[in-house]
Amino acid sequence: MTPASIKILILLFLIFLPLSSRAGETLTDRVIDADTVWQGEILIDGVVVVARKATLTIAPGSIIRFRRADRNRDGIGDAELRVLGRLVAEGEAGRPILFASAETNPAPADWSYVLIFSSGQKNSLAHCRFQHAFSGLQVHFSTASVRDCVFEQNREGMRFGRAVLDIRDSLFTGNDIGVRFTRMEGPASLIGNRITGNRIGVFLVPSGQNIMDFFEPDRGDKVWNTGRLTITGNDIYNNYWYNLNLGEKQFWDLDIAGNWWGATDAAAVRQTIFDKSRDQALGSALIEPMSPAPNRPEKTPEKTNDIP
Amino acid sequence: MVEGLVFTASGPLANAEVIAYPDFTSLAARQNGIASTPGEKPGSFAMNLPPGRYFFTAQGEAGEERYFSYHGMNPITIDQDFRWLPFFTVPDRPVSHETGRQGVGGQVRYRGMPLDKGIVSVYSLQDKYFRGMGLLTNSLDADGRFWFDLEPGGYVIVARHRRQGSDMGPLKKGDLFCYPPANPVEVKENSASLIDIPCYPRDDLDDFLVDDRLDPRGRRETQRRGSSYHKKEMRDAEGIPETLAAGPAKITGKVVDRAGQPIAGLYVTAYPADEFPLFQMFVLRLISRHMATTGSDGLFSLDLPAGGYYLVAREKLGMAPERHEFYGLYEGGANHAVSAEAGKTRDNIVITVDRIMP
Repeated sequence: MTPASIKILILLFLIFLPLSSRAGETLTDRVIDADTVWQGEILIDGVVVVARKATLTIAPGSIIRFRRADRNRDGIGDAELRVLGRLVAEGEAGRPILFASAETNPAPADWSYVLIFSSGQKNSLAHCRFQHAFSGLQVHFSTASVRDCVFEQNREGMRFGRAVLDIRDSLFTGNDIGVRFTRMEGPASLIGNRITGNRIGVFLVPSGQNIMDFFEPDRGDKVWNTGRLTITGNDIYNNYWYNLNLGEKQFWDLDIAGNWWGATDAAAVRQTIFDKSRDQALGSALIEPMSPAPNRPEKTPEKTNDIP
Repeated sequence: MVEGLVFTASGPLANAEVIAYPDFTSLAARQNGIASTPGEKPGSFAMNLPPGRYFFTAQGEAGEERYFSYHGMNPITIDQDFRWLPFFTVPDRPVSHETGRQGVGGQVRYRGMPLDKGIVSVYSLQDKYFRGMGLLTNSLDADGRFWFDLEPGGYVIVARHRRQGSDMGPLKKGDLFCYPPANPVEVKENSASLIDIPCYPRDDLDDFLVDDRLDPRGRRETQRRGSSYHKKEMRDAEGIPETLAAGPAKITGKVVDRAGQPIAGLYVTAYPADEFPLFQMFVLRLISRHMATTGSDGLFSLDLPAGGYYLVAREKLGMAPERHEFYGLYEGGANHAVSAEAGKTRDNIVITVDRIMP
């Protein structure tokens, strides 16, 4: 190989090498418009956007902290990671990726969220931990996979609407609302998760934004969430208001079978569910057959005090 | 079996004909409809229909006037059970086309009087139900007038007035539904399509019938229920409200895919950013009248008042983004906003789109 060709190879390598952020770097409002790798500690003080052409890869063990600032004075910290391109945040067991508040005395809603919005690529999150956000993770009009993640001490653990979304083997605890599905469109799967210790475990709300006059939804002969939300094999228990809450205008019956609710007595379980049995205007949560025992006792530890 | 009555504001419309169409395309073309047979009483009709979903209209003549009604429940599911359908018809007036600013404008009236509030929405012909905010939605001005800048093509226009509460949610009894018989309205190049939109009240025959007319139940109404509408002089539609004149600023640019290739035929919409200095998703559900389409070279040009705008390019409008739709926000800054100064052109704006939700 000639010296000239070696120089060309080195140049090509440098051109196509993803940009890497230094540990301890502070990022203010900016757009990441080329493939980038984050590793170590990153401080976000503003809104960081991953552009449609870019992939942001976050290395295992990285710590992403968000500084609290409330420029629009809505009571919610503004700092946010907004992904229009692609996010690959795949931690490892024992080396999770932490998304957390940068405040000395952190509190829910210190920062906004990791938002995946109108992405044209497949996003992947595994072994991530989200703390003290308004919503740890929001996914809208995008495709994403969420595995082995922990959402705790947020206003909402996760919020999602129309999205191709698969959430598995994750823990939602200590949030005001564990999981909030805002449009009842999906298609989303919520399988094998542990949802406990929240005020409301799962909150299901239809969109309603386009409901105008003479609206008569085409219900067909299926329960409403068929093809929109699969929610089975989860352990949803000990959420102190309701394990499951159907929101206003959620008029239709929902198939929520195959989950463990912390009890085997269906009547006792129904006491933890807000649906037609408490408000005649709502649909019914069809919870039977129920799992007779926890589905995933070996997964998703309840104690999270090993978070760095 | 479907039976019902057809009214004008003066009472039953004798010899009215109700037609059931299998879809809106057939209705727009006035083809493939199943017509009713006259009933025993003036204005009454009957028809046997196979089970299915239909778009129903009613039409007829009285004196020199033609009348038309598009049922607000359309499309209506007909099954084996008996179904009673009343129709409130309104005068059938054509669209007038005048050379000038390109788009649709006009005036919305009830019982001849302009509405002083309400909303009017524009829908694509591909829209199935013509509900919600559609492609664009504007509030009526104090004289019931409206205007939309639109690309050439066919559109369905619907106005609504709710007596109480917000502009959202189902219409209630007495709320006004306003579907111009001229729908779908054609927009021609460099031409203003002007229409009068008459209304009828949902489920409220008493309010629909004019004073001292005999209703089919044999009652003569002399005391009309209170109305919230201004009793203004009727005026013809006369041009476009001055407040909707094009602003002095311009934004131009290009829409490309991730490979940098121009994408033609996308809508570029500018949403006001000055009121919402931090981008949030709900901004994209607000109403905007500033819209352009990209040419074969991906280029677009927006004329608008000076100010800050969030820019979005996408294939469809009026609904939430759909799977595999081309969609993109302006990414020139973390806030997705562009500032346009009065008298100047903000050019070279690039919006990258992608087919979302793979």
